[in-house]
Amino acid sequence: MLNVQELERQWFRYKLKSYIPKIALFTLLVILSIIVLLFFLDSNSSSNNSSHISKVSSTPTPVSEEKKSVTKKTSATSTPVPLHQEEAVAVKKKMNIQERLVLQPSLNFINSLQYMPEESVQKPLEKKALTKEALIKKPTTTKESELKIVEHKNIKPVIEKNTQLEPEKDALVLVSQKIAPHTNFTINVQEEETDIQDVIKRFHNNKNTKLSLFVAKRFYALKKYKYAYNYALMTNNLNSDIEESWLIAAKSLSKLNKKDKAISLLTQYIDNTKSVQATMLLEQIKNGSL
Amino acid sequence: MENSLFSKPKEVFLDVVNAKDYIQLDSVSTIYQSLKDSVKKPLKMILLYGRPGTGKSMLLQKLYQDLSKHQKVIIYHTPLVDEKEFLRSLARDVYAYNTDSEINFTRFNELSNHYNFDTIPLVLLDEAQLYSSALMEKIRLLSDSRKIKFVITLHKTEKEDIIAKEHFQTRIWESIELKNSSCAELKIYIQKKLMKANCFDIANMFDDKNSKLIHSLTEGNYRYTNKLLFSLFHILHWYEEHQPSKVNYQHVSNKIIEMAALDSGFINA
Repeated sequence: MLNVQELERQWFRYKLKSYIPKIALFTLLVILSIIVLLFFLDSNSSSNNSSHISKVSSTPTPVSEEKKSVTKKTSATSTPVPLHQEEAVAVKKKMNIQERLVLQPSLNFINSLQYMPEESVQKPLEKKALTKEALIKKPTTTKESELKIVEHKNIKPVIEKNTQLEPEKDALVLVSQKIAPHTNFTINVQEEETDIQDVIKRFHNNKNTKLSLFVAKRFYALKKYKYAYNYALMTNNLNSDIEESWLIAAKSLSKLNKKDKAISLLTQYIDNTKSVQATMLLEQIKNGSL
Repeated sequence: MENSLFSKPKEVFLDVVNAKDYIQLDSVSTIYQSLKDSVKKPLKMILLYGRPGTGKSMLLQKLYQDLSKHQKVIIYHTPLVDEKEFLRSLARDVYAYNTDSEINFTRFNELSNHYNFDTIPLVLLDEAQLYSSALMEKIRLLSDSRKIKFVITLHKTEKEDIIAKEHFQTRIWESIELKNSSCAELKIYIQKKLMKANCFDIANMFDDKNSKLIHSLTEGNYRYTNKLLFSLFHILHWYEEHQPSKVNYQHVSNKIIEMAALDSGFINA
């Protein structure tokens, strides 16, 4: 006997069942998309916050101190330039508490340098003869600071463009004593330092050639050719098939006025690989057009 | 009740094997023609096989109807499981030999030697998978004697395939497989069947979506389709009587089809 009411109820249940998987799938997708969206929003906001915080709080003081100490040495040769001392002092006051924190990365970087080949690492250190204490204690003069400002002004655009090149702060202090503590500038530089130090740390932990190549490229971009050479060399030691690291090593040598060494390096590499890029670079170095 | 628009279509889809209800579809007519051609050939045995509900019985019935005007054709819709009963029925129907005494296989062969036909008598055996192996062996021997030609239908299952292999692999010269209909064929089947009963308006109520749904529910099986549509028109009939406002005379809603599928057991709630 036909019972249409019962059939209708059964049909309703059937439709409900047939829609459940679709609804469940849709809900799952919506939830997943929301989670993903929130995750990205969080990550973006946190990264923005962290960078902002580092810009405002951590960076200025240590850099200024370091730069002060460094600039002392170079003060005699430097030319005076007008400095925005009020700004610098204000920022310094704000950042006093976090000075130690900022200094730590530089120490790590020094430690990391211990892993570098002696040739490349020791020479800059010997030249500068900088110690941790010296970095902290050495005061800066107004002349130095003025000089620093001028230099920063020149470098600024490069650094602002390449925010990832941060490791330089310590490197800058250790290697090139020219850079002086200017508040605006130091903020950017320190941020780069922290990041590149992280990369260096990661590299020493996992010996990933991608990281060392990255560091080499960054140092080269920041005109820290010795460090660029060191890291390119480390990359080559780990994996001799990475052409880019050979090229950076050669370019760095060339920039360090070691053209003969660069040419011999490239020649050997070209003999082994017949690389077109290396050949072109060799030509450039020979022509002096690099 | 008699005035109901859906009472007649409901009867159309009653699952009854009647040659008058034979619906000519492209694939079916092709198969039917090849079956007719096979019968004319000097073959000892013809096998018609396919899944239940693919139209084997209908095709056999149609063949019987068409050929019986020209030659001696016997059709057994239900299997005669007992061998003596089978041979006695065969003697009676083919040779018009009536006797109360038992007829064994030897006696039947002797009898068959006394009769000559211009065209070899054709015996159509439906549901042959129900015959015993021993009887199937006798049928095979009879067909070998060329006194009687057999057309048998088998359900295509694993078991029946084995029977076919064992008994007929070397004897059957022609085997024809019937398959379920395609979606397009099923729509034509439904509409033709309705139009044959002059239900043109009802035939137009089925669109492609409906036939697609019906095909998905019945897998193109004619028997299942008949069952589903019978239930469908039963439900529509009920609505027409009790809730006429819910009846859409322009097209069949998928809800009604699904309700019919629930009623027929094709889907479960």
